[in-house]
Formats: sequence, C-alpha cells, structure tokens
Amino acid sequence: MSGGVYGGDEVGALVFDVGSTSLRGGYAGEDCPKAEIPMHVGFKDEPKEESMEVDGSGDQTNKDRSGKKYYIDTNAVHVPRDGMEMASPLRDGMIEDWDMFQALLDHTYKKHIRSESPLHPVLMSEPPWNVRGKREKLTELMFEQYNIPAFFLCKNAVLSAFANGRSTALVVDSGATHTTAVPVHDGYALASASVKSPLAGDFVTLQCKQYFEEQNIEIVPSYIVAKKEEVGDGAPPCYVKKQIPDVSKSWHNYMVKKVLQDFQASVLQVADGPFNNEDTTNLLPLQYEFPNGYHQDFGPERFYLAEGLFDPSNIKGLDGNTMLSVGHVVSTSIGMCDIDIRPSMYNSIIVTGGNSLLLGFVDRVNRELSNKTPPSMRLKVMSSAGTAERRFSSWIGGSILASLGTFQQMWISKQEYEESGKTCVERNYPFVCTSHSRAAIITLS
Amino acid sequence: MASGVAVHDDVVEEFQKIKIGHKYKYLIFKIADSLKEIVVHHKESDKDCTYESFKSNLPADECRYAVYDMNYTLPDGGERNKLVFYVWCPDTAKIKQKMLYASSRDALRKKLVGVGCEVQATDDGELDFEDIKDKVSRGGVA
Repeated sequence: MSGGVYGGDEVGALVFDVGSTSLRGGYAGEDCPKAEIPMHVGFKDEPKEESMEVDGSGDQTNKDRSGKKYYIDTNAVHVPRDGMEMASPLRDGMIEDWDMFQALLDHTYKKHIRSESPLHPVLMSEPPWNVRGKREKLTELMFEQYNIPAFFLCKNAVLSAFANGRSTALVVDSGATHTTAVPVHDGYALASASVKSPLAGDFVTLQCKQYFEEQNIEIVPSYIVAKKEEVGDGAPPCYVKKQIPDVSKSWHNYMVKKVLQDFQASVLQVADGPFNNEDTTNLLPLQYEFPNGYHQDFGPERFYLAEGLFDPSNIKGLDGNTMLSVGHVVSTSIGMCDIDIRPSMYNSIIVTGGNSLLLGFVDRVNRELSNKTPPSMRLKVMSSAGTAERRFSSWIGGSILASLGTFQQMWISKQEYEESGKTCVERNYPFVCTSHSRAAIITLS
Repeated sequence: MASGVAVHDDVVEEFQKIKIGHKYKYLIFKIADSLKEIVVHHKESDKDCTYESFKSNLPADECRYAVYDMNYTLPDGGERNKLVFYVWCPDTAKIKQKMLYASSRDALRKKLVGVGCEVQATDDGELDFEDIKDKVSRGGVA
C-alpha cells in the first residue's frame, strides 16, 4: 500500500488510537499511523533545576509540574538509565495518569506530527467501557491544553467493525492486557454486553516467563550483552556483560518482556484443537536464539504456552478456572445480547488486535466457536489478512472516517465546546449505550 | 455513528415505487464518486429476472446497497412478499469502501421505511436465496 490510498478531502485531521501497548498517531487519510509510540514511559523523579535531556535534543518539555522527567518513545525508553522506572499512563485501558498521558501527546505532536495542535481537528478512540468522567476530562484537555479546533471521540470497537464493512458485528480484540468481546449493533457499541478477560498477550508473556524460570533459562536482554560467542544447541551461553548504570527493576522487567514478546511472536503457535502432547511432538520444532547467544529448539512448548488462552483450566500457578477463555468471552458476550440480535453476532465475528496475530489464533477461535454456536445460527469469523490492518484496524477506521468530506459536520467544534462546556462530548456522542438506551435501540430494530 | 453521507431524493422516490407499486424487482444503490451522497445505481424493471442476475449485479470487489423485492410461498401455500435490504461489502473491497458503506448505512436505512429484513453480506455464501428466505419468513435481521 502506498501513502494516501484512503485519501479523502484534505482537512488535516489527526487520529489518535490509544491502546494498551502503544499510542498510534497520524494524519487522517493516510493508510498507516505515522507514529507508534510505546505506551510504557520511563520516568525519573528529579530536582527541578537540573538540566534535562530528552532524546539528546536537550528540550525540557517532557518534564511536568510534579518534577517528574519522562522518557518517551522507543529510542529513549531502550537506553539504560540510572534509576529510570517504567510505567504506563493507562489502567484497564483507560487513562489514569493524566500528566504522563499529556507528556506522551506532547511528544507525539513535537516529534512525529511536527505541527501546531490548534491547526488540526482530532479524532480519538476510546475503549467501550470508558467512563463519563474520563471522557469529559479528555475533551477538556484537548480543547484547553492543546487548543484544537474540533474533536471527536469514537469507540475503538465501532471503528474496527466499520473497517471490516460491518455495522453490526461482535468485535473480538485480543491486545496486550485484555481480550475483549464487544457487540456492535447498528454502529453502536453495547458496552453493557461487552466482556473482558485478562487472557491476552501479556498473559502469554507471563506464561513464557514462568516456563523459562522452570527450565532455568535466564532471559538476558540485549542491553546487558556486550559481545557473545557462538555456542552449541542448548549449551550454556558465553557472553561478556556490558558496563551499565544501576537500572531499576521495573525497567529491567520491561526489557525482559521485550525479549519474551519477540520469542512469543516468532516461536509460539496456537494448536488447532485442545492441546495434546502426542499430537504436537512430531511437529516441526523451531529454533530460537536469545540475545545472549543461548539457543535451543522448541517443540511442544510452542503450542502449550499459548494454550492457556483457550483452555485456562490447566494454567500453572493460577486458579485458572475463574478465567474466561477466548471462546468463552465471545459466547458470554453474545449471551448477554438481546436474543434477536444473537444470530447476527454469530454471523459476523471480527477478530482483531496484536495478540490475534499468533499463528493459528483465528482458526482456533473458529473451531472453539463452532462448538458453541447454536445449530440455528450461522458462524462466520472474519479477520483482515494484513498485519498492519489487524493491529491498527481502529486507527485505520478512524483515519478514513475523519478524512471524509461529509464527516466534517460531525465534529464537536471549539465554539460548541466554549458554549456548552465539556459535557458537549456526551450530547454529540451517540455511542454511549446505557442499559436504558440500549433497550430502546434493540426494540427499535 | 454516521459518516455524514447524505441520501439523494431519487433513492427515496424509487424506493416508494418498489414498495408501493412493485415497479422493480430490485434496486441497487451506491455512494457517488464525490463520496457525498447515496444514489440509485441500477433499477431492474424486469419482474421475472432471476435471483442469480441480481447477484451478478453486485460487483466482486466493490460495496453496494440493494433492496430486493422477495416473493416466497409459505409451507401452507400462502404467498408472501417482503422487501429485503442488503449491505454488500465483499472481503476484497478496499478498506475505505467498507468503512464508508458501513458508516453510511444508517442514513440510508432510516429513509427506507418498510423494509422487512436486512442482510449484511461479505461473500456469495451470505447471499444464498434459501437462507435469506428463511430469515425473511422469521422476520429477523441477518
């Protein structure tokens, strides 16, 4: 795909998609976000008078009122620094630490958008379970701090559904922190019937971590390794350690997680059916080399580590029975929908999110659900083939929407905000489904 | 949520003709190239044309809306007639089109009062006549 494939009228709108792993930002009308910034931010508590350096450019804007200094973006975050802690401004997919979030936005405007915020309308995504207070606070922040000319907030599930050509669908989004199932009906997200489960990317990472601990394989992130030598398969690694500053525990864990995520993406696979050791032992093992030079073949582990997503009953060290597997998340969510729309939910299940890129994930969802679909209903599982379209489906949806000439009448303008205050986001915002309005929508259909 | 795309007056006018006068077998609508409004793309006045010919008028890699005047017979011999509204978004269509058609559906759907059933289709399988007839006779949304 080349730039501007989705191009529409030139309005210079910006689209931000806030996810638990990263903030995706860029101009509307483009086919891919201009920047993908890790949501995890490094910070230090520092005295105010000290001269700051960010990305080596020597600016001070990333320092906030509380005297915290933030390190943002892949490059800055990956440098070992004395005492730098890692944290994310989000909790449960919603913005929790506003100073940190603002630092992230500042950085995006300055380094990636490279333009003044008052010049561009902003379309932002939010999780379907976002609460009113946070939505209003975000509106206030965008209009007051960034002085944007117009604003629009959109449920990410709705954007994903639209990007797949459906206005009624069940959107299964398996990201880093959560796997969610959100019913979208006629372009409205039914928040009250959405279901969340923590069995997602981070959970698989944790499984890998536990596995390596049991196997006594130490995960050494590349920042420690100065040089390494080639060793035999499964032989102890031979490497020289780098001189590094005294890094914090949270940063070290973050770097370990990066290694594990790479392992996860390149080695793991979801089994076709319920995991069975005999079935998988004769499958092709995969070789993986860690940053410190240690390497070995991975056979059945490839399947078994990801199995917890679909069968939480035998997760080690966790009372797995209380967790919902991916299949259950979907069927529970559909079960909470009005009976009249259940067939159309089973008929268009859209799988999206970075974790769904695990090999075999979509096939397994299909298989699990075919056992759960009532015989009178027809199952259809959809997912976009491209990696970018899967990871950025809501961003791309927002990008197309915001670039439409006809969409311009939908924005909440600065003038409107000034007249009616931050509550205008609620009035102009038809996707909030309280249980009351949801009932109304369903009876209407 | 809406994209703000408008519905051309002709759409409503022609829809009234299919609804009241049964003048057409089916109507196909599309979003005009200006991306500003939904217009009538094809009117089929041959009342005896087959369902296959309707399907062949839905392009393989572009999205469309359609209204089909469906006649069917109940098991007890009663004749029924219902209008079916289609949103055709094939998997192979460009993502921009899918986004446009999905987000503009609401505007069009509100103007088409009297549609008995709605079908969202992304491939030929979902256009199957018998399946849709089943849904229509149950009065459901697909």
